[in-house]
Amino acid sequence: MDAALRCPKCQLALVADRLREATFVACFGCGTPIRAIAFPALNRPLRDPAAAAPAGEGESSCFFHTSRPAQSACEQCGRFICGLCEVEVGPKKLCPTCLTAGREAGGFSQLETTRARWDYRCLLLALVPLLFWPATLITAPAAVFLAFRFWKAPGSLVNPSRWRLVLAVAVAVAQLAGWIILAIAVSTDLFNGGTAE
Amino acid sequence: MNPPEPLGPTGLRTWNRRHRIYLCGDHLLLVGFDGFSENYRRFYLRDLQGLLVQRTSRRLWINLVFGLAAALLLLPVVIPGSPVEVIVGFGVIALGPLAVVVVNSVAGPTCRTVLQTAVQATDVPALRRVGDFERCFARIRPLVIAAQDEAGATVPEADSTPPAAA
Ligand SMILES: [Zn+2]
Ligand SMILES: [Zn+2]
Ligand SMILES: [Zn+2]
Repeated sequence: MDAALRCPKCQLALVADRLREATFVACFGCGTPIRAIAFPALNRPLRDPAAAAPAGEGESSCFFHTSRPAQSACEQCGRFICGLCEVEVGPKKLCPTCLTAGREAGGFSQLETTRARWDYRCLLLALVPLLFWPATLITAPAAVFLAFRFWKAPGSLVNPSRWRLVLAVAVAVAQLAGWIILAIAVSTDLFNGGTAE
Repeated sequence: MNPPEPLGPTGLRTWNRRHRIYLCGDHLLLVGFDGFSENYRRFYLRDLQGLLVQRTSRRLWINLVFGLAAALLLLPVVIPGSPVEVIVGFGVIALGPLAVVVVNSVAGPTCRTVLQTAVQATDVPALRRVGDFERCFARIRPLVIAAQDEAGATVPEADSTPPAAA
């Protein structure tokens, strides 16, 4: 058996047994207390889709590999595909073409590895410049613009709430209001000063 | 699909990231957040070969550092003849590090969790207390067994007997 759980510290192959699964046992290699929990997949060979026999005569073959037997149909376009071509995306089994197309369209949240958190970015842009308030003359409109620009952008995959965007807009609008009041105050002051002479 | 179900504590930090682990139907989702973007890693339950938990001394070190800070702050309190304001002031400030020591001690022993599949062994920074790991494991264990039983039905079992899996 070549599959084994390995000590995270010294990489020594561990013997999985009930004792190790339930309690911490010192690793033979490095002495670190380790709990090693094995699942049935540990002793299962890697699924090898290439191991299937070539397509026999009169058998349906893969759209992409005519020499290989079809194993399933793409759930999007219906093409027959072999085990090599089949890609599981969440509940669906797709062919490579539909996979590429879907990925380009951003349609599979299951394949996403990163998402920009515009709600955090806008909130930072609305709050941090308060430490140096003259900067808000530029950052407040920018925060409002970005908040609306990315309003529809998907937020977090795990927590799609938009309250930070709302707060960012509220804070930025308050800053803009402050600037407008300041501008009115200054201009009426100048106006009054000009006519007093 | 079910909404992602958090399996660990919220907002566990490494130096520049917050980490959390979620269960999303047939896979585990490891979410890291650096303040600007979230990144995701997925591990399908049917592919999990095992979980490894390594005891760490993080709890001890946190207690040592914050305990020492609290002790230093409490020095003026024990020095005879200190004015009352100094005693009260430093005493109140020392409550901060003392609270860290108490919370850290109550949260239980620290660990490093590693998730092993046929092709990789991955750190799970979202599970760094034995208690958190225990809760997560209790939740996913039946799901992993079920997912792998299903997958195993189509694949011939290897000749070796599975290790303590039941
Ligand atoms: Zn070791
Ligand atoms: Zn297709
Ligand atoms: Zn094919």
